[in-house]
Amino acid sequence: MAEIDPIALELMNNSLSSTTDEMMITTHRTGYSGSIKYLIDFSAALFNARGEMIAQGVGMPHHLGAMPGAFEAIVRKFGDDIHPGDLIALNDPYDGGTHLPDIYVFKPIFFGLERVGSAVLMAHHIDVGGRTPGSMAADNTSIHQEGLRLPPLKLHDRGVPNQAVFDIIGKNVRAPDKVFGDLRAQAAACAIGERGVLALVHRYGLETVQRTWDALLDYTDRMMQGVIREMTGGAYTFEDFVDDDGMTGEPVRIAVRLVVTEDSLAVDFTGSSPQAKGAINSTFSYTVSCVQSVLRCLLPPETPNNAGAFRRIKVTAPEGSFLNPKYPAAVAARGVTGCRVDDALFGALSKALPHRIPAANDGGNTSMRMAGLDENGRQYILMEVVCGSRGGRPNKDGIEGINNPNQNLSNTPVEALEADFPVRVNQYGFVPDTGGAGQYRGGMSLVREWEYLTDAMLQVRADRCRFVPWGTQGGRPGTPSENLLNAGSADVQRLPSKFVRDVHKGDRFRHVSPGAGGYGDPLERDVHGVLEDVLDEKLSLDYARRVYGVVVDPTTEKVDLEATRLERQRLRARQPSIN
Amino acid sequence: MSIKPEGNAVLVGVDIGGTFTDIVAALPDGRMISAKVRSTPRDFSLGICDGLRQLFKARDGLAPVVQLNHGTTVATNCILERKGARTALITSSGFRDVFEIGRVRVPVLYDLQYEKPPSLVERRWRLEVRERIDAHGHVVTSLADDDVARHLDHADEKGIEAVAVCLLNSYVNPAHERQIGRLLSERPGLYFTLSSDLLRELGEYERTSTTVLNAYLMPVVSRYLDRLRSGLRDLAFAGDLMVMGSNGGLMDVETATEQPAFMIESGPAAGVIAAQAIGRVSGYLNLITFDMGGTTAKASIVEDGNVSESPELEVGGGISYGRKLVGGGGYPVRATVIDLAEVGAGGGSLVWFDQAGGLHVGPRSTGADPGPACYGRGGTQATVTDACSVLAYIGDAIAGGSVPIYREQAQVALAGQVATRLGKPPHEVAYGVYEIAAANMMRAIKAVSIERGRDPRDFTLIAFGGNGALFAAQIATAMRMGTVLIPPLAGVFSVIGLLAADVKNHLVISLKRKLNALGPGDLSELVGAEEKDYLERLRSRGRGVMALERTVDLRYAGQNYHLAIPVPAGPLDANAHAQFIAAFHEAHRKTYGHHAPGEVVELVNLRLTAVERPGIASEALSRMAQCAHPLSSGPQDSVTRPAYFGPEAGWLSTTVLRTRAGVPEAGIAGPVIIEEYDATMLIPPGWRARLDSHQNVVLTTGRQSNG
Repeated sequence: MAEIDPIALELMNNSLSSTTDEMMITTHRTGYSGSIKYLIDFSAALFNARGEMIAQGVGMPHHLGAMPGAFEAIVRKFGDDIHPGDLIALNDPYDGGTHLPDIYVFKPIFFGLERVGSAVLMAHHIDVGGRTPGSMAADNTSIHQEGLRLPPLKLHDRGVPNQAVFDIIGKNVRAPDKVFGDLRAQAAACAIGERGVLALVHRYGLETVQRTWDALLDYTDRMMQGVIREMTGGAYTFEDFVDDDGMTGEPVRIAVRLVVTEDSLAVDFTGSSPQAKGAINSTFSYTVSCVQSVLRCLLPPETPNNAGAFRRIKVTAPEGSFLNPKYPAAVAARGVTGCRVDDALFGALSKALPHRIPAANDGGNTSMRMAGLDENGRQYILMEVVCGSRGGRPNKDGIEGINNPNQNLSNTPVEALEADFPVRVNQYGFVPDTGGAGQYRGGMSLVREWEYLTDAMLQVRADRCRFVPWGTQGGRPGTPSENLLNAGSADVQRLPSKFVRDVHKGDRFRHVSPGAGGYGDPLERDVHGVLEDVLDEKLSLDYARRVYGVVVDPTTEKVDLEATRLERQRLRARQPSIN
Repeated sequence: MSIKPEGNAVLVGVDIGGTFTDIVAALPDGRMISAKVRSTPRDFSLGICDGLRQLFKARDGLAPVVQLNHGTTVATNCILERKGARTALITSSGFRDVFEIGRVRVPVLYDLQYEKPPSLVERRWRLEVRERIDAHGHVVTSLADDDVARHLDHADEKGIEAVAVCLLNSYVNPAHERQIGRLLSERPGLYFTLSSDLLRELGEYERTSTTVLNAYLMPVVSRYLDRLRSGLRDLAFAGDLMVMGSNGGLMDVETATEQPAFMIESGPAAGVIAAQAIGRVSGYLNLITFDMGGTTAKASIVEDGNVSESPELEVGGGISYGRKLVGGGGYPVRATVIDLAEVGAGGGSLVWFDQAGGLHVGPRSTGADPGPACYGRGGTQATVTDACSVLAYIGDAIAGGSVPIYREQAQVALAGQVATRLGKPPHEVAYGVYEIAAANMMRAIKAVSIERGRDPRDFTLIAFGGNGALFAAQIATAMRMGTVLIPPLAGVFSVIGLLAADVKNHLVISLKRKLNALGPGDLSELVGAEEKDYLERLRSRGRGVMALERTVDLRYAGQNYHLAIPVPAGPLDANAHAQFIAAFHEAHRKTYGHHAPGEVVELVNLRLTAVERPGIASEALSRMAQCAHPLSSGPQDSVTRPAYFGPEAGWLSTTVLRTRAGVPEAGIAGPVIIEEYDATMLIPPGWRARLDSHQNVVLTTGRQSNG
């Protein structure tokens, strides 16, 4: 193990993370599509020559563990045929990618003739062709419906743009100006990564830099080792479900078995459902990536973000299961599966570390595409996500209006939507009496309602309509998500969790995100916490009484302590003694 | 176009910080007098008046003072300590939670214990009214007046002090907000802010946040400025009281009271303005400013003599380093501000270890109380200042002898807490702490330079604040910057900026046009009409305008971020039109490393800045600052003491000068320490110091630079 002065380590870590920050900022400021400029659905990372990640920007945790797979695909394809000035892209899930909209752009970094590492910027593109605008339909049944597959290829070959590739992309995607603009931003970010790494090499010398990178990886590994040693050895199992695969309506099972030994963690998904017909299949690289992002949450947030965290972690999933699918399974909607992998693994961890792990989060964002032709006959694609809430924690409430910890997307300003697309938003806010009750309650559901000003296509990928986020340590489960067409009218329609359909001018689509799970017995919740929630209209008077046993007098706006004591006594007596 | 104090006119600058209040007066005879007094956090105006009384005790009160320019942390503190008004927010029906939801991203990954900043307005006070205006400004649903009345009655009853109003699409059509404004103005004693009065920009969350912060600050700032005015009146002050804005311009008290959200970075902005002014006089047009105090270090950039601006600021989220992308740690304020990056590294930053044995410095800080261990006031945890003491960079006392330094206590703190763990002697660990602190602060400097595509080697580092000059050479070495400038009065430098700043008024007009669809004639007409309108409105309010600056915000059509491009004065003929478009392509290339000359450029905003009254001209200011220095006071004899410069150089006998006047004409080679009243300067080995004709200490090194 490389021994380096802690001071030199801290200096190196600061230098690397300011470079990845810079890559993120450049992409954000110069991107064209809503995916980049509003949702921030992209990630930056730096790799050493061996393809190990040495730094990560504040992007999407789920993206990053999948990058080594991309790196391997590139090496498999090109071997030593990688040169200064090359810019390599790929998106094929069966050749290094995870789903087609995510295009990886790699820039190998050379010091003289030696390849010393690479800079990577992965971005979710607004469209890569295929059956539906946005290339995200959950009811695809084959990768060939999902869009343009890019095996590892050279966008730039020794500095020269490969025009044929750009021409093919231009003919196959629905919004080429946006795709090309975003690819330019990715290339610029990679150039910044290259500059940052070379500045370090010039300053300290290659040998010192590489030794310090190794020491940084070792350092993060030691941190993970410390965490594993805190855990009680043994096997912990958990299961969770995706509502359906977008095609058959059947629940899809994730079974996880976490084995903790003194020095390692093994995560096995044997017993999970077979490969799904619809597009919720998650490539093995993505499954691994999600596992890693969950386990990374066990380290202090300020720990250097690098691949050292994962040396002691082994992941297995049966080939042909929906967590390790075979060609030509469709994978566009794998994001929801990844979130359920997180939930299942957090569930297993909550048995190993009950006082550290929160109740289940919302279960992942809901993704929505609206598309049609504008008045000039040009294709528009509106891409939105609804991000909801986090579960109750061992020492405090969950949070509403936030990403779960393993995704980090943003919402789109309502005013920007309305200025750029034929749509109006009628509501965006919290839904009272949602989320799981608990001593520390889960975050509430969010509602967003769109009203369509023209006919359009609507594609939605939601989940947790049936299998709600779990509570823990006596906390109640969260609340289901809902998809409603024309809510509040006579012809209201309940829509499935995942669908593609036409909507007409005047139609209103209303999505309620899942409410997160609660932690601990609701009857142990601080009465003043309940009162505050009632006064803030997050809980109704009736719910406070029924679920928390807290009696609030609406005129004095105070808790009736005596009535509350009796009510809680009564509820406790009725509680089955399961906890 | 600059004024000099004429006749017996006196101009005064007052900057309040957490510990000290600095006051500098520019006298008619060209001298400057200054006072440093303890701040009085419970009511800062008391400390100010006290200081003024001391400063002017030999005179007849403040009668000769024509203008007092004030830099203040009152707004920032109010947000950080959550001591603002009880505030309600009026929103469009269906959107009360926009302010709490924010942009849902978090600034730190993998943190299960993350907390969002608590909403400044509780949900019960986020009140919805039935109304709707669409993106084109058409009314979809008329405003229900009775909703407003009902809410306001309830708010009155419950003691709400301030109301923020932000309705959807009001940036296109403010009619409903104005209607609510009329209903609000019928209720005297209630402070209120309409989003459309503050800014006309798309983005409901950012606009709401700006509006809420403004309303939240209004009563506090207004009461504070009232107290200050009354205190000043008692001292016979009859001049104009001006307040520094985050954009580096001064505003009158009325504007400050109505728009306190725009004075949040008041003090730090003043430091950048000072750097710009002194740089211009001394021939340094490209500067990176480095302002280091007790808890934070701030950096900004001056390019071709111009300060760098940013369209947004995030407050209340702790420390930022240009992390606009990873926002979410605080509340955004949409306003043109001087672009500052800030990191939690200062003299008081604490030294600590994590569980894997990693050594860290900051961002936690000891604060003013108890302070670093070496202050001998009960502090036991090692800080950056303790490291400097162990290294002998600071001597037996600082601040002109008023704060004694107990070096042995610093030794004990570092040895006990850190050195034993690392198995190294305290001075080696102290040097490591010094290096890490410098590296942390470099992130701020990189954020304003490298991250904006600027190579720091093309810039001179100007260091100020209580601790800036101790770290400047170290940072410059690491960033390969060849020159460091330490201006006169470095320890109270922000006040110089208060005296240099212009009184300014700003307007942003949202235009959103594609430039290819707009001929030069159209553009000239559009801009001309807006200008004329703006100037007329200013004149009708009795404001003189000495100069008008114009900037346009441009981006490639489809992008979300713009770059600000200055527009030359006069009519926009085809030539000028082509020139500023070319300037945009070039700025994009320079900032982001790529551009797309074939793409359509979109005009987002027109920004107009009216200079109503200029500050003291840089020349005069520089002359005064030089005189203010105690050039010949105190013993001049140099002494030496050993100081430690890292494992390679070791302990070196180091010359210690009492003032910069002790620097010989031919310059002096490091290691040298200059201990002045307000700041200590460190010239390490490998660096030379000389005095230029403007009394700046100029540090240079052989190693560098782009030249």
